[in-house]
Amino acid sequence: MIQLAKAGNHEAVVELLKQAEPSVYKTAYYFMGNEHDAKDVTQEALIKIYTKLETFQEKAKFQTWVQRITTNICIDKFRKNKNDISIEGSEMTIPGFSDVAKEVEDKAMVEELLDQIKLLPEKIKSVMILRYFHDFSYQEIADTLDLPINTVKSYLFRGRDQIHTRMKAAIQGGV
Amino acid sequence: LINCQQAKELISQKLDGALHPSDEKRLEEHLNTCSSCQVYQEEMKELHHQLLQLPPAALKESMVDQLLETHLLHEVKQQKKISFWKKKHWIGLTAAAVLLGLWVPLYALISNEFPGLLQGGLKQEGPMMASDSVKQELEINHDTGAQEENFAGIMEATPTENDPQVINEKTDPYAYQVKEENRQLVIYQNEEVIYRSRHWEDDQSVQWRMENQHQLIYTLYSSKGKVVATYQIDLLQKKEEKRKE
Repeated sequence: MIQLAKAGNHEAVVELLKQAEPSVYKTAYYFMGNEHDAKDVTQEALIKIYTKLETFQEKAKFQTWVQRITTNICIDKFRKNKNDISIEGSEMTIPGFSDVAKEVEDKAMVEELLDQIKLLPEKIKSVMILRYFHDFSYQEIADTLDLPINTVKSYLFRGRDQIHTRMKAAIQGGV
Repeated sequence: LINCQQAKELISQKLDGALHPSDEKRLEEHLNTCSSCQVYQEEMKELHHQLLQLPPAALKESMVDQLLETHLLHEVKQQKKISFWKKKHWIGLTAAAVLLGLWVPLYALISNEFPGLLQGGLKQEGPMMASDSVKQELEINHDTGAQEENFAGIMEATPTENDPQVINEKTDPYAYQVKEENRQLVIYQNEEVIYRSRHWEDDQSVQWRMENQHQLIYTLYSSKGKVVATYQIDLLQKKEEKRKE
């Protein structure tokens, strides 16, 4: 299908973009921390995938290539947003969670986790997202972000450790 | 023997199922004697489990479909084709200029008389080709352009550096066209999309104005008519930022 898409077959291109879309949005959502920016990133990434498709080397995995494009756009946009005042309605809303009372506690925990992910340094955040939301192996993460495997291991440790420390502090702080 | 910091790093790798047997053994030895790392391991396991259980983020509707509906992908491709054609054409012109530059003096030497007619012809050929190319290019833009009804602000703009020839084209000054498409402003220049604003939310509405020649200001309003935010777009830099008002 990738070959067909590269040759300009419209159906194959659409199919390929639709295949890439959920994983692009997932990364964008957890990276940016809100639906609004996630949609902007997704649109930009889909256009980039479309325009750069002919440069895609098939020795690489398509999903790895897609995630590389997406994380780069996320990092750029996140840096730009830092200089901007956060927009209204930008707080994380939890997808797929109903408002059943017994789930309130879980929901608070999930919100806290997502906030903590959002606060991670950008490279560590990218590694954590690829590991936890895409189930990428060390090697796949290394290929996507152009990092040595030992750095991937180290970033995963630092990401987890930072979230753990901050969540513990929040609990002990009596929140 | 390993210290607590090393043990914590190994605990992290263990969560990924990527711990080498020899490291596993060293970690076990450490954990047997360190209760705080035992607690850390338990808490990390719990955190790992919670992270794996996070609900997946999913789009309510496909953006690929939206892109196809708004013909954005088609537009991007058209833009790409035109820019490719431009580059290719300039390579051709440069090559022609080099060839002319080389051959005119050579021809003059060989023929031993000044071939006025031929030289004049050659001298003119360069500019004529260039100006033809610009006309052709403008025609391409006209052909692909649509006559939308909601065509809004028109501002004259200076041509881009990539198109120095356009300065001499008096017939079609560059203009910005702003349209609302799919909850964002789309800015066209000579029928090509040059910028897309942020998306606004479903229940918001927008008002925009040209602040000056290259600056567009737009304000988002909530369903109750309250100002949500105002952004300014620099159309030369192709950047936008929130206005601190």
